[in-house]
Amino acid sequence: MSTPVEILLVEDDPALRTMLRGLLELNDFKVSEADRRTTAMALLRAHPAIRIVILDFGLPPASHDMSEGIATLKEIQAEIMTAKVIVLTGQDQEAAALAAIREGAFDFLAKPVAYDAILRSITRASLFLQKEQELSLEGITRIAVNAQAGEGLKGIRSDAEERLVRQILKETGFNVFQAAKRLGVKRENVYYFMKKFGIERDD
Amino acid sequence: MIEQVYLYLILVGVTIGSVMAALWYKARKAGRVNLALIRLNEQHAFDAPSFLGGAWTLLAKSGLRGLAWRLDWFGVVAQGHGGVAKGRSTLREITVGEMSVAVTFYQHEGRGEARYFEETLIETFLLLLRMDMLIKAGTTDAALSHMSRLNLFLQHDMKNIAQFIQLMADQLASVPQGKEQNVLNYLRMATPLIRHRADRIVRTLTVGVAPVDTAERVALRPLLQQLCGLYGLAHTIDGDAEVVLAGSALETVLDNILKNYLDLGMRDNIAGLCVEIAIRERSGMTEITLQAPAAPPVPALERLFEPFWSSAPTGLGVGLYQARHIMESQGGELFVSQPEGSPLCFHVICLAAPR
Repeated sequence: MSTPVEILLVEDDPALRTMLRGLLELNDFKVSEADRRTTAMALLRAHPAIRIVILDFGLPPASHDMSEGIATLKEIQAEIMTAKVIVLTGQDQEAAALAAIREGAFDFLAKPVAYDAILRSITRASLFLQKEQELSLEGITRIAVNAQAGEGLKGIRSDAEERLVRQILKETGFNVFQAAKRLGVKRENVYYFMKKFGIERDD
Repeated sequence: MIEQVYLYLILVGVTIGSVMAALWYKARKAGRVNLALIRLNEQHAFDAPSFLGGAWTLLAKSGLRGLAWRLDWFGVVAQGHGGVAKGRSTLREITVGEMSVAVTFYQHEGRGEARYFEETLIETFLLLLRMDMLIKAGTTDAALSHMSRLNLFLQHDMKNIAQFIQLMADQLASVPQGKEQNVLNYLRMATPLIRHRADRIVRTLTVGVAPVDTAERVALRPLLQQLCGLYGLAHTIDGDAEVVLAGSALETVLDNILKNYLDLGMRDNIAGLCVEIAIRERSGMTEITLQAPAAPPVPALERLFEPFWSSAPTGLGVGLYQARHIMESQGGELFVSQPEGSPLCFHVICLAAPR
């Protein structure tokens, strides 16, 4: 029997959270719950096995706007967590979709949505993660950066460098020797990048 | 010789007295017209278009020859006039937001005190018009802002309810074999929660409407425990009692207070926020006090029950206002106290149930 996919459900409405949890558990997913950003981040840090986050954008203390949901998404991206984020929100569809894509969400679903659509999104995210891991074994690391065209390439290069170094260091458990090997640079260079980008072991 | 001077002095005195009397009479007349204009504006409920339409009768008494106006009221243009379009004309324009008015006054050619009194009246008239337009702009802005907040609130909550129904339908449509009991358990857990959410929406939409349920005995401790549990609020309850009031009334009131504590805890990230609840009976009434020692003092205590005022940027500001009115409609009270340096304390007073 395969290990169930671990999902974190970040939703402030207890009724909806309970209902969605029930559906996911009936479909053999392992579900954790959070009703706000701090709890969600604590769970993600404590359980790296969480593969997928279903995130509502309207979280307290700003349940009626997107700010807290976007902050959660940003924090997940900043910590280079491998979990894929599926945004499931009732906020203004256009604005929420734009924010979700900009901040690196894997998928965007507007409430109300059928369970099948949620399930399809979870399946796609799982497959995506699996393929990313396979690529990682081949030495390929996917990174995502938001580039502002027209502002030169230096900034984008720097952002991409930082993202890649952070990601590789995270994947190697901050083993500088392995990170240097995967990056194809000397260990001194890794230390240089760590200093340049302010990367610390506990990042 | 001296007799001649007396005569002259008397003549000067009589002239000055006559002039003063005439001025006093005219000033009094102008004052009365000014006051009448203010009263007329009040009668028209500070509504600029109707005030404008009804003002000529009074303005004519001041000696103005004529008046013509052109009003652009949120894109609709209206025009009107009174008297004759003759004499010295003065055009004055006022614009506030999407409202503008251009008024032309036709005055006599005269100079001196007549002109002075006319201009005083014109300024009063224009000041009243500007005030009406500012009032309209203020109320329109406030109404739009409240509508926008309410819309946001409803959009979030209604979509969650729609999502809940969608998921429930999906769940019931395909219950896996042998997992029927699990589905039932989830539904038992989730449906009271969604009912509570739906109740909140109804309460928000019926703000100002007193509950129509008949009075019944309500046990306080279980109700408080249930509500605190629903919000996951740490709490202590000292004492217990039963009260008599409309079924949903007390639940609405306590729910509002506890939700405020929950929002406060989340917004200010207060660790260890615990609501201390005390229940005391005295002279046929029961007092419930709710206080969170870890909560910061409320800076604008006097605004706590003001409708549409909220310390939270996304708050509707109707909850506590509504709660106070509900308690009053039930013969009870809701008030707050905040002694110097202490946190805010809510006091809910209701009729104690007979033993």
